[in-house]
Amino acid sequence: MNDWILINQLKQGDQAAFKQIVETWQDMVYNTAIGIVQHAQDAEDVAQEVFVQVYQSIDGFKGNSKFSTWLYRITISKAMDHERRKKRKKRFALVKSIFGEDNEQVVESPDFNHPGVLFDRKEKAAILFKEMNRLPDNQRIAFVLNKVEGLSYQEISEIMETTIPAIESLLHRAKANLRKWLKDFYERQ
Amino acid sequence: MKEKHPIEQLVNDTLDSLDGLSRAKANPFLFTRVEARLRQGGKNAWERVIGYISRPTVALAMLCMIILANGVVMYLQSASNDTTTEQSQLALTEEYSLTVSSFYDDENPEP
Repeated sequence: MNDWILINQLKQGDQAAFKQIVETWQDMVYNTAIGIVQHAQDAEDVAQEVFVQVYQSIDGFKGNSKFSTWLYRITISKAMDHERRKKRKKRFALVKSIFGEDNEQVVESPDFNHPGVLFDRKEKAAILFKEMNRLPDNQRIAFVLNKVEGLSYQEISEIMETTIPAIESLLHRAKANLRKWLKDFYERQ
Repeated sequence: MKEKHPIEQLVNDTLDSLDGLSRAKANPFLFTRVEARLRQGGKNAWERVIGYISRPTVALAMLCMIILANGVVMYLQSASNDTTTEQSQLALTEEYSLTVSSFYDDENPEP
């Protein structure tokens, strides 16, 4: 069914329309989230938060951009919020351990394996995802949208509300950083 | 014998490892879980407040404001204390005639 019809129905509180929206877009939202948070359960939490947000703020969607663009923006925002919360928890746990309250061990999460990676590339993909965590936020977002979601520079520029040359620059810098870190990684092996 | 790739090739292969990636599939029960969350009402007011004030920039800004406010109060208090102390000292002196006595007072005591 046409997106606009569904959106208008959802604005009127139609639950069936909401269900269809969720089912249509859930893989896109989940895949984008998992590319950023690199953890299946966390990605599912993020996806739930995204659709709750969609339901609660659908009236705010005026149609100035495509629905998918709006949805990507919410997903990225929720995923990055999640990442910031995770970093805060780690910092707090570190401070607690300094003061001797070390009852909660901070466990480094194991290497992330994206379920959609081709079998013979899983090991290298895990190394790449680990290094992606070190990228500055904007570079990381652009890289995930390009490599994990397969979006074009045009689509990414609409989502990130910037120009295509800016996206080209972000991706160029992201690849340069990853190349440098991967080289260091392999030289240490 | 294991072929040893040059590092450059390894780096390139790693950068290309996401080529052909297929989308991860969401939990088929995602909609049910979203419905459950909506029924719970999402975050309650307290969770939203705590979430907001626990942000480092917000917490730091609040701390600076508290320190500044304390500093201003302490400054104002010390300024008014000086005046108050002076006035109370003067009142005490007058009440108990604790003025500095002169040679004239010693020679000519009051009856």
